[in-house]
Amino acid sequence: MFKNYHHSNKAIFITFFFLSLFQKVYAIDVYNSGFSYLGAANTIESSFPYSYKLNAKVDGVGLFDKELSKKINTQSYSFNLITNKLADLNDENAVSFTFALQNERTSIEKIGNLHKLLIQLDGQLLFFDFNSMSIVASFPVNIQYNDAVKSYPSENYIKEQYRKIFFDEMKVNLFTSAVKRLEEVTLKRRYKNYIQVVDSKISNKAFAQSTIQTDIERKRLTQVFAQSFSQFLSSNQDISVLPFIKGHAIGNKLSGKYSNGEVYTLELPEPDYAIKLDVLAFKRKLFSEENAGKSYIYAAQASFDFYEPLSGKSYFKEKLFNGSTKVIPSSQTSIDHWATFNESLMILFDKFTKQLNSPTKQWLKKHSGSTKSYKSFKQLKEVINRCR
Amino acid sequence: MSISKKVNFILTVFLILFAQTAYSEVLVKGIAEVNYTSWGSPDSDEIEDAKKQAIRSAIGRWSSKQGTSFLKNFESVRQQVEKNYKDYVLGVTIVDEDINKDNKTIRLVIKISLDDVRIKNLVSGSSAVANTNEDELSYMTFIFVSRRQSTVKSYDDKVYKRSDDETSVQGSEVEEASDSGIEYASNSSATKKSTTGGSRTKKADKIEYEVSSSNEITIAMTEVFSANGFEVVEAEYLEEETDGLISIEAFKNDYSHGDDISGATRRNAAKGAKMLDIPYIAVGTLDIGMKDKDPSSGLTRVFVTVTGKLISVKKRFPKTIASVGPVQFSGLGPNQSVAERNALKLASKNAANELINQMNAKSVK
Repeated sequence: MFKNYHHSNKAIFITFFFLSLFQKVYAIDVYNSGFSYLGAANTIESSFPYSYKLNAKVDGVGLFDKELSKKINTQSYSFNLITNKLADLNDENAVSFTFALQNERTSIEKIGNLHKLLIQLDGQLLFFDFNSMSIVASFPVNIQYNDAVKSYPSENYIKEQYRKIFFDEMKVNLFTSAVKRLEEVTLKRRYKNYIQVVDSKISNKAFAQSTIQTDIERKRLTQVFAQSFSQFLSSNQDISVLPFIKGHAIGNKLSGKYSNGEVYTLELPEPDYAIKLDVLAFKRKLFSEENAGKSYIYAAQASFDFYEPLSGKSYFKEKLFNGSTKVIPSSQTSIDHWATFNESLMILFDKFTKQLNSPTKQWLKKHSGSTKSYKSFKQLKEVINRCR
Repeated sequence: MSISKKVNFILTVFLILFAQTAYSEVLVKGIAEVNYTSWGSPDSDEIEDAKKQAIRSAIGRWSSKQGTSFLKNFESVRQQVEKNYKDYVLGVTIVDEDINKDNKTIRLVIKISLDDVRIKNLVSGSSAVANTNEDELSYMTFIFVSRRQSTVKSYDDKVYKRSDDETSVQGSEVEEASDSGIEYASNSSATKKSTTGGSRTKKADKIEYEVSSSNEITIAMTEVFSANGFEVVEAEYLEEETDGLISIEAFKNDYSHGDDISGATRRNAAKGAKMLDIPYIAVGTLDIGMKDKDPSSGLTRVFVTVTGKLISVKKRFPKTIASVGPVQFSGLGPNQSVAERNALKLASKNAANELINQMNAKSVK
């Protein structure tokens, strides 16, 4: 009896050993198709004014492609990344990859005697089926670069900062961030379910705190919030999150253009779970006052609605808030409240998406003021698991 | 662990590994809300029933998106598909499961991978034509001509202008005699009125067309008609045998001047088909529009407007049994000729499919 049991265990072990080898061999082939921009072909130049100019072609190859290729080839991934040949159309399981730039934003605001330059770049690691040109998985990659200068930044100065973001080995580098995220990605050939931020809003009350009061800024902010939340959800939960596509897609088609001018159109799957995001309020409250300075709590509140679009069933609909403390030294004359509010909101996104792994009553009580929705909070974990 | 359990376990592991194989499929969602009677939670049979209902809902949602004529044909095989859903549904994923023990209801949202090609084959295979013996298969022929603008002669507007001037003077005189003398007063006012007007007559552009019967149309249409059980005879082979009654040249000639095929040309074609015992003749036009740039892809885009009729000449008088259009289709390509070919191919295929679907819906064979 014991002998038989021993033999059977050995058999299972051998089976698993061969299966694990088989899995290695069976890893998905991913053909790198290079760098691209998302959006209609005729809008690329105007949507990415700095990036587009920097991506000059040398010997027929875009500089961004060279840079991405240089960085991508030094790492290993959960899939077989093929960079030296074209996609095999006969290989049904082959997947193509492009790192697509989705948004480029530059803003300058005066704070005290300084001019704050903010550059934000949002990208997507897009994996798609080359035969059906449909998205298999997408993982957002966003970076933010802050700079403060005394005089109003000139056009050349801004251009130089962009150049650094793309080509210099500094802390904020778009391609380094993209490749780092690519290393973490666990790619599957097919996903059971997809999740997507479908709507993003900012209330009048919250927007009143913004230093720039224009409609364009309002639209920009809603995009930033949706992109950022998508990125936190994707990286903290290691899931594919479909891109927030407002203004980038017609119907469920997503257009893009490679550095060499070739265009593509990808079909987006319908989201099985949708998220509505609404940034409700930013508030500042004095926490303590010392001779050395004052400390404030910067609170950000947002509502999150996770639901299934066909039945309309809501899994989690709750207002959550986060308070971040910031010490302002007495010597500091000007304070950038808006940046601190945004930071507080990003911390909320980060904490919330991390908390989905092990939802606790304490956390919910602290960030929503009640534990009423604890049951639905726990349900979210199941929803996320269905997207793996 | 028993041997059978071990075998099942290993098989499951293999299945999980091989489940990644790709199929040609569409993903559709379905929803079901059913009541259950079991005490407490629903039993496995009741959950299975809810799942089947959700699958039916998904198949229904897919079929209703395929167009009216397809849906009519699908109705004849719907029960068969639903009964043998395992043959057409490649996979089922649970999107949401909600069991309400108070109301005793199960609400299920699922996503299925549907082998749509297999269902479409089943639908076309169940048509009257498909169920006819090879000897009894219906012959058919078609003449579809396409045209593109070759010259556009624009006329200047004919302008007629008119101006009328009117001048009128109004005045009064008062003359009064009294002991002290004569008082005299007069006043006058003149008004000048000028009315201008006219008309502008626009004359429609004189457009000349270049008409052709391209290979793309013939191939695309033959493929659809043949796949649906017809014996297709290309019109070129019938011209001689009908003494020119079926004449592609006559179709081209009509379509190069007007917007339609003349009654005489269509009558002759119908006579010719009847003469050779070809019961069906499809005729139609494809109008190739001007090129533009697709705003999304930046590629050249060409629109084609298609119209078509399927005429039965089985009985004494020719009768239109199916018609399509005008419907627009666009084709994209790196240059105009590629975009044009793609648009023509797409328009021809869709027109032929629509004619066949309508025909099958009427059980014509």
